[in-house]
Amino acid sequence: MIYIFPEIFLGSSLLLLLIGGSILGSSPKYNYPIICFQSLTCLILIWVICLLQIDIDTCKIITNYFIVDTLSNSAKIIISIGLLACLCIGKSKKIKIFEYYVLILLGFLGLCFLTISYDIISVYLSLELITLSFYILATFQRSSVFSTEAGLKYFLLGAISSALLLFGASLTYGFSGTTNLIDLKNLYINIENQTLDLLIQCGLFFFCCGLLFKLGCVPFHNWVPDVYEGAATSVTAIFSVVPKIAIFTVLIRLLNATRPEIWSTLLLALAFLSLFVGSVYALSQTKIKRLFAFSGISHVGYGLLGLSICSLESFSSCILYILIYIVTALFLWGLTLCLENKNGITLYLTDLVIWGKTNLTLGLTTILVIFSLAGIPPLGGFFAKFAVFASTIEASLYLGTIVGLLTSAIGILYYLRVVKLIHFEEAGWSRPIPLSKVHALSIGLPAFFLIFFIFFGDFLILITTNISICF
Amino acid sequence: MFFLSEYSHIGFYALVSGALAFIIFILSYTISTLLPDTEKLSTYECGFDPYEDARNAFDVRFYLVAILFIIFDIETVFLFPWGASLCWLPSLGIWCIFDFFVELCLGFVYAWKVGALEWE
Repeated sequence: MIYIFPEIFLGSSLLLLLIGGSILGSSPKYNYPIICFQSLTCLILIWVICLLQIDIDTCKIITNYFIVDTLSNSAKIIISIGLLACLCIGKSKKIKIFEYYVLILLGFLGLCFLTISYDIISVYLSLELITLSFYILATFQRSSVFSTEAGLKYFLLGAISSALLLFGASLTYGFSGTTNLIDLKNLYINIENQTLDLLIQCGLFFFCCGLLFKLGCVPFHNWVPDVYEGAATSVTAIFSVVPKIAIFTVLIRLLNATRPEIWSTLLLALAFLSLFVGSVYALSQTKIKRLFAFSGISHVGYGLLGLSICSLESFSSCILYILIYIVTALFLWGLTLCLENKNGITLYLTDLVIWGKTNLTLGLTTILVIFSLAGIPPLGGFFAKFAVFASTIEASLYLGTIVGLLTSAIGILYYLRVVKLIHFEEAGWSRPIPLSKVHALSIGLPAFFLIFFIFFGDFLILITTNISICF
Repeated sequence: MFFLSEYSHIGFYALVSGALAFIIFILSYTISTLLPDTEKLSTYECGFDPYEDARNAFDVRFYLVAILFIIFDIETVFLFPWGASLCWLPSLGIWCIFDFFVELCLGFVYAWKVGALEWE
């Protein structure tokens, strides 16, 4: 029982926050406090608990529904750091109700459960917990038409993906008689009946489609740009930074439990589609949030490319890629939020001009981070891309590598467009934007991480290899 | 033959429940005394006419109460199978439902405190 201590702690503190927030928040005596600080503390405590658990042996709990191992603990640590940074950059005086923080923590609880899920049922339930709180977060600005549109779209498409997920789960259960991944793994070793094998694969395929939907991978990517654009930027940052690593964790577990060779073709195809669509569509975007959404789709493509090889190096490269993408996304969303605090809502790419003119340090840092996102050598993003392509070459997938590199070249085109906008465009009259300390720190640390990655990168690669070895 | 032996119970339930619903429906028409008038025969749905223009403003509070009702309704749906299988459950199964109750009650306290149940 001690192994799910982080989740139990988080769940009970959530209930406490909910009750405390509703009692304090409706009392004029305490001047309607918002429980932001408490939820941040709660997150930090979870992070510490996860850190303490890091070198636990693999163990399965609650009749094999959950598994606690190095992968889940590391994913939880990454998620909690990401969420903490998102809350720091998104903190503003505009958020007037405490439910915002409670909902974020509820989503975080779902993500924690998702990382330790080892059964189709528990995966589904934790996904629902995440998405239900995310739907509400997307519609958080009730007065904004964009926000309600985003929330409604997210809800409808999310419901379809949940239906796909459940359909796949029911097929798998119907033909194999189990929902548990360990049992499925044992079943797959002994299975001889070809038809049955095919039918179980069919179920798992639908299940996988539901998961990829939540990830925003290409045939299921339609919701991503609209939701990213419509939702409040602080919420969008959470959408793009936090859930990816948890869903990749589940995909890795699913791939390990079944025969990986059936998946690799499918995942490879989806990865190429994501890379291509993400890069090409991003070329014609004029709004910052939509651009980041499409760039996020193409980066999910790189992650899937790593995943599709299904070898030890490829899993570690996939985790490394997602980790570095998370850090980059934190920087970019932090930058956008700074602009938004001054400008209002709709942000066009041309608004970025202001950084080049008023804050040269930040402008230069932005360039470096965008270079890292594009994969220019001494920066962090390069090593992530290198790891992914090294694992594809290792698996002698030369054509795939070439296609990936070409789409990466298309990607560089729109990244360079942003760089050109920031530094070589004539700006009108503009006033410098003051940065608060927390803001500056939560933008500066990711930038530091990416720019000086070369000095401590081997340590991180060691960690990700260690994570992938534990299977 | 396999389907017959495995699914015959479900088929039986389906038949009985269908027949029961039909019988109750017929009986309520034939036995009860009918005194129709316009107010009784008009459709009633949450205090507004269901067949008017969809673009009118309507009161969300009806739906809030309905949603709260559904949540507690589902609680009973969970409770019945739990109570029926209580003697076979391990301690985990027993404490899980208590956890569920506590969380549901706290949710209710929240709804109360926030004022979701207040009509005016």
